[in-house]
Amino acid sequence: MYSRVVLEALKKIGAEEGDSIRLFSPSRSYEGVLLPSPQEDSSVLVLKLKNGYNVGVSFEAGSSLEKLPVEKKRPGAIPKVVLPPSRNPGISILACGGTIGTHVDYATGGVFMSRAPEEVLGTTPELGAAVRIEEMASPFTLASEDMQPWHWRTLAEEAARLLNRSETRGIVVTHGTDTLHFTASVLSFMLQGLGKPVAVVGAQRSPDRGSFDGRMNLLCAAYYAGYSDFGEVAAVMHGSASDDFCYAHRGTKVRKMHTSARAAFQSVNDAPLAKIHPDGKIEPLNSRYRKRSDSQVTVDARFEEKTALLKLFPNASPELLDFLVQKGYRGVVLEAFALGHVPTGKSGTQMGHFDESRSWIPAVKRAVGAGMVVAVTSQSLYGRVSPTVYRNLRLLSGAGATFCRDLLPETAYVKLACALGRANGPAAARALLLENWAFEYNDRLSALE
Amino acid sequence: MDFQKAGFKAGLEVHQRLDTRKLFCDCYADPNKHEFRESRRLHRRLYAVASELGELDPTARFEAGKARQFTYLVDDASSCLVECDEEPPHALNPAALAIALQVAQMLNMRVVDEVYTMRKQVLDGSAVSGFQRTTLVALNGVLETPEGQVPVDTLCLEEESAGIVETREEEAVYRLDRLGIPLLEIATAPSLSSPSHVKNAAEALGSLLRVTAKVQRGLGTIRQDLNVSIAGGARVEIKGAQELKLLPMLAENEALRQQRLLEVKKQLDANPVSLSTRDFVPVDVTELLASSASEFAKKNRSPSSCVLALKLKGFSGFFKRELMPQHTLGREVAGYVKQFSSAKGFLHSDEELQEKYGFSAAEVTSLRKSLECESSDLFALCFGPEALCRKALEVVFRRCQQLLQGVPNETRKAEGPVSVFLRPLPGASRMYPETDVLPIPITTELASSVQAVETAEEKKKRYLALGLNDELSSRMVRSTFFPLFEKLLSTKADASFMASTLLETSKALQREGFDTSKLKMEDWRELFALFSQGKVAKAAVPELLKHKTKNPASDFAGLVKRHHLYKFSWDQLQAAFQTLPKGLPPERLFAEFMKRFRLNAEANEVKRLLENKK
Repeated sequence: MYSRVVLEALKKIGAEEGDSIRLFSPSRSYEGVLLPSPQEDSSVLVLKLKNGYNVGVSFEAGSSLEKLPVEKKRPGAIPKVVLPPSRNPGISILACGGTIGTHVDYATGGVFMSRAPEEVLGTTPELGAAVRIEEMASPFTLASEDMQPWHWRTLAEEAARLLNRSETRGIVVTHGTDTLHFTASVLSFMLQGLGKPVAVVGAQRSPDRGSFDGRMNLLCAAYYAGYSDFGEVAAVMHGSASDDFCYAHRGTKVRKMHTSARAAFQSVNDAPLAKIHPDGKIEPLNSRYRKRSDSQVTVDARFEEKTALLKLFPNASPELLDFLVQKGYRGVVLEAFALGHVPTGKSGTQMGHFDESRSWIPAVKRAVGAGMVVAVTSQSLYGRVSPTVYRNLRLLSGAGATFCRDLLPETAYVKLACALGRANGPAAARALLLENWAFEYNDRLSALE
Repeated sequence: MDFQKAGFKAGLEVHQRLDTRKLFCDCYADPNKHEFRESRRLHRRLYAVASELGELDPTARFEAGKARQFTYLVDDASSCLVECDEEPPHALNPAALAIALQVAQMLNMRVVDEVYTMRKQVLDGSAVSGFQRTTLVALNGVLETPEGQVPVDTLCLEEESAGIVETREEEAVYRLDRLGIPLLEIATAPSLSSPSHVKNAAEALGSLLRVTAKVQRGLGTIRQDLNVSIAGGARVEIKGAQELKLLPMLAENEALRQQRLLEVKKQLDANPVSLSTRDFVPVDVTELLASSASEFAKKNRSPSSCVLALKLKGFSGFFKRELMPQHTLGREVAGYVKQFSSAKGFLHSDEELQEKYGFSAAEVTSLRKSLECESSDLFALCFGPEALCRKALEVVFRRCQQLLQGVPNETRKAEGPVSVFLRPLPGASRMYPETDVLPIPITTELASSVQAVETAEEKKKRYLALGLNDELSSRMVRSTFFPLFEKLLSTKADASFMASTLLETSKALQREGFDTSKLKMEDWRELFALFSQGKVAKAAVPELLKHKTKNPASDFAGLVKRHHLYKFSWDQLQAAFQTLPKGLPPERLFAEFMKRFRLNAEANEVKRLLENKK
């Protein structure tokens, strides 16, 4: 945004962003297309010069502006994408935004959410040769950090509608990567009776680049949806730093493990479902899966919004848990240390130095007593939590906490919210939490690679 | 050629690698100094993306049309996730920006108030992300040349590209160490009036950059791109001239090429040929040449390949015409075939098909017959898979159509003193903002913190005053040694002696096999300190250097002791005098003394001693 002084000067000459202007001052003159400023209250004009470069020029006292008689630059038209008829397997696409669904407005340089769902198709022309697109829908588009429970419910309803079309072999959901693994869990739990593949897919590089990784991800996702034998939700993303294959990670066992790399998504405590090559080859890697079927999908979108995810740290005060109880939370997932530890003050020999008020055991008892479900997962991510190995774990278990075995903290959060939504009271919710709905529990862990 | 009459205009674009860490990450690399060790490799593809008008840029379309895979070799010592396009860029390197501001000041340029980093689309694989980051820092400067002032249009900071290791048909292999090194790009206006003016301007820019002492030196660290046009011709960019002395030849040959292409156009205008789409009729002549004894045909024959031929009406003789020395129009067209298709077996009838390629007269006659060629017609041949041959002949046909328009705008690649077609000239829409990097305000504090740099002339003047002669001064200003020399001045040793030791003695020793290049600054400082304190004589210095290269772990003081290379005191000189044979005639005394004690005494002191003895 420009400062008031600049905006007034622009108004005086009838110029706005996109117009060609000239700025004079006694010592210099610049000509270019006026672009929006990326900064707040700025008195530096951003001009695109004739040579294509952008520069910033201060609008200082004594400068004058002139509007040039050049036609205004307008953002490019939405490219028209025709869904070609073909005999390929039919899939449908739900475009929900994220990096994979952005476009750059070259006139201003801003990155914006796509204006039409079909824009996603424009980035990956190979899709037409792989599958037939039955329907493209976009219930909303947003950056995935803004995702709210109502988005998840809407998405599940839309997914079910598309999945229940008999000609649809599977669906692809394009999504921002930040919370993609949450959404994969949500769909895994909310879509009841799922028998068709659902690929959730994103991109770590934007489509304006030649190196756009979403192109291969989208293609592999389409192969997963259109051709694979899995009746499950999977995150389909790059398998390595190269453009050579994708993994289909089970929706309940996947996590974003890198902020920016292509192969950020990894299966934790489970093997990926399959390796998918951009030429359409699908290599199954996991024998434990639900086979594809044409069963009807229903949606159970009940979701307790008063659910929290809390990470432990040394010196963490149990007041944090009391606060959630006070605020009426019905469930919390603790991301505890390693096997499931929280501070108890009951270890070692220097007992005198541990302030009893720092122990989490009484707070957990209070929370459970107030009807809250306290679930325990591990910040180690890999491996399972145990209620028995050490005395401190037994204390926590004895206080009423529910140990969620090898569940990822994010998956546990979604699962607990669903369980609380569906159950009649905390005991029932605890029982539901420990059921295996979508292979979120794996009782046979393999060694780390 | 009368360059003024021909309307010759040239501009220079100089790219100089800076000796700082990379422009958008914290890696440092100088490929001339560090051996490359492969830590890992990546395989990627790049796709053309639409520009703001929904159209692909011609260069982008051209590169994407090649659909190649790229392999990147990564050395973890010189590149990180940023080069691999796996992490967003870090902030623009302030040290590189400071050098840019310094050079802008030397060229009297106008620095913008806020610098914005842009992405320039590059799809040949040399940028892993598919774009090069580039930042315009300053505009409108002036370069002083012997021919007068040359306007300097722009000064930019940009990322160096990845270095190519290997190109195969379907794959190109790059090394990532070079990618991201800051490049200072300085572009002059197209106002250089002759090839020698081009050379002088390049020299002036080169010496201006070197005096900042913050530039990388050695092979490939400075590159000159040239753009040339003549009246009626077109702006043609020639990339990759690494040798300064080739620049004027490249400029002259490009002017010549444009002139000759204009002559071809004139001739074609006078005797119109038909090159409409329906004249593009490739004929399959595989059968005709199936049993040819030609080595060329044999080499390019395979069960899956064919031979396609194309008649070009009225073109006989044209492909023989020389556009530049050793570069005919036929060779020019072959350059397009090479870049646009990967067909290898391209020939035409203006070549010596019988003498050079071993086709029989009967084969040539039957080729002409099957194509219905008259004597004024030319035919092109291509051996290989059918689709490739067809593409290659299309390229030939399109290039011939272009002859009717004159000189096409394009980017060419320097190959010695001539150039070959590289790709179409990029459109203007290749640039858009790098949204991952914030703009940087050039505050008054930042601008004024830039130190004024001594110009080459000022530096030379100072060296003359230090006692270096004219030649030594000039050489030191241009040399990579000058930053070292500046630091050694604090030893208070004779400046002229130090300069000649660095520039001449050490070079001579290297020729003899004593590698003095490994000596560190501290070594040189110790050596010249010993000299300035009167502990060693001038003549001992080369000897000490020889010993040092063989015993790099010893310090010079130790070497002096071990090899008795200390300078005699007055008393020692007297004592040495006593060892001379008695009865020598006085005129032989000096020579005899120096013969024996050259390494331990300075001539002037010996002379003084002998004077005293008289």
